[in-house]
Amino acid sequence: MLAGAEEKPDLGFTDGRTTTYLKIFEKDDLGERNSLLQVALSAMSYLQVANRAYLVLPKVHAAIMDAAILRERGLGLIVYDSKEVEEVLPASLFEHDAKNAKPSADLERLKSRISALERTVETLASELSRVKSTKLEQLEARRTYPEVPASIGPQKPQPLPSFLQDNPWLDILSKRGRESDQIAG
Amino acid sequence: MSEGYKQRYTFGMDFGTSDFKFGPITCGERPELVENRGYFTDKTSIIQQISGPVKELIVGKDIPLYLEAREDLSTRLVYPMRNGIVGKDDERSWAVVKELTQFALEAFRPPESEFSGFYLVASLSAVAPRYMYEKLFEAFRETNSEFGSIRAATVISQPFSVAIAHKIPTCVVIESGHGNSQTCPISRYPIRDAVVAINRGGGDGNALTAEILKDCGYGDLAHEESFVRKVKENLGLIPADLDAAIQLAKNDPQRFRATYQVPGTRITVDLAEKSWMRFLIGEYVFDPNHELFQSYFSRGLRKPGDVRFGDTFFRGMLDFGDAIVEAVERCPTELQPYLYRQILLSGGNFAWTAPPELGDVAIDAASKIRFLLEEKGITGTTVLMAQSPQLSVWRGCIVYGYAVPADFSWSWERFEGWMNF
Repeated sequence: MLAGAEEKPDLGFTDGRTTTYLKIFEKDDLGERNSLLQVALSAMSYLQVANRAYLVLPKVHAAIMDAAILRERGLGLIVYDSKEVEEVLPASLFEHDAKNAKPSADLERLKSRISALERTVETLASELSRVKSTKLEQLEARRTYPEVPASIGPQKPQPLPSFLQDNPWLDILSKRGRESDQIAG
Repeated sequence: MSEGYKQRYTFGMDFGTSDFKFGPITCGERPELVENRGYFTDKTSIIQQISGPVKELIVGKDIPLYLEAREDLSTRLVYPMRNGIVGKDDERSWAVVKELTQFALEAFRPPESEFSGFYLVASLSAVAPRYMYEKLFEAFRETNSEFGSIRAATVISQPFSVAIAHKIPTCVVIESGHGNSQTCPISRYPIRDAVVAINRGGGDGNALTAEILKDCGYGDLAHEESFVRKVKENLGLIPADLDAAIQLAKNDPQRFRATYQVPGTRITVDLAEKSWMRFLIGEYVFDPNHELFQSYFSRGLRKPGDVRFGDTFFRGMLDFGDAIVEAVERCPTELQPYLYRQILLSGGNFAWTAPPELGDVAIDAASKIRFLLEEKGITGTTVLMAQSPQLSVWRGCIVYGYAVPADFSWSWERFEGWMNF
């Protein structure tokens, strides 16, 4: 189902290029005197948005309608009963100029909400940027560096004496007290 | 205490027979060295009274400043480790050991505020009895009470140190010094029960050299030990085969003729037609069992006898080949082939060189040991001379202290670990 008309259709179809709206009148809806007229006017209003509009009536009420008036207005007519649905009068195709098309209220609301969201995002981005720069300055100011004692200083790595380099005893002796077996006299 | 602290403040001490080598790990390749001796001053002497109060015991490089030309000098100048062993009740020697310890530690006391004592590794002869370990720990404890310079200490054997310094975990180390020699199998641990001690060292080579000098007409000089030692070092040769070498030398005395000019004197020793005797000197050190030596024994040369020092029995006439075999055969059979693979020679008594022109008959110490082993059916052996023998014990101490965990406590069963103070 598609949205977009000021009054929502009971059914809507699209083939990707054109849209067709249907206004369905049910048997029980004929409770009031002008109800059929209101339904017909609603169906007419679909043509502001949709390319085709149909009035769907029970077959028993179709006789009430003057098909010539519907054709004149470009409105299509579909009748139905418990056995079948039949297109009695094809709807005329109405081409809408996208540029001049009057935006629907929903569209206007959507545009308005998107604008509000954009403003919010802009505000948040600017706020985040400000917080970031402030915090970094504060953290930088608070950071304390440990003083390097002159005696220790950044020492050059001293090479190990030759007798310590690649000495297999280092591995053997480092396990003293952590091994169970030993050969000692 | 952390491993990092221990590694920064590892200190090594080698109580050698002649020299005392010491220093912390920061010494790098070479430790400090002073003679292993102490001089007991004479409090009653006029010089002492004039020059003011002087310490009762002097150690280190200042000793010559205090020496007096007195007949009792030999009793005042004490060398505590002459044979690697200090008598249990030899108070003067133990006093020297303690004084040397304090001298060494104070010479390297670090200025850092974190310093709370060294991790001290000392090295003693392989034949040092248990009481020497106990006395040494006692000296360390007293030193720490007085100066606070020892956090923990341990004592290891010198052959073990040599093996560590030479990066060989499984081998036999033969340490041969002035008075005696020890054959020590090592396989990740020193195998103390397998140590074979020999009551023969460089001093015995000197004694035979003195007899040879007498035979060659230099009897008047034969009583000066330092002179005799120089002659031994300059004229003595190790024969590959003693009988063959003597035969060759007797047939061609000019080729083997040797002379030694004593530096700074008019004295020249010339063995002349008796130059074949040069081979006796080298042979005697490694194997004194040739029949030729019997005549010297009968004429008064002290025959190396079997003796007991402390808990250790020293064999007098055991040749070095037999000593190695006996030591190795005290070890588990499985281990024996690995022990024979590497023999490490350490100590001044192995510092023999073979002149290239006599290379067909005279050999070095390592080759002699290899020949002695081959006579006993042991082949495929690599015999190495310890490099920098004067330094290797101290180096082994440093490696030991650096690597052994600080929480490994001393065990009297293992003779290893740290004694904490």
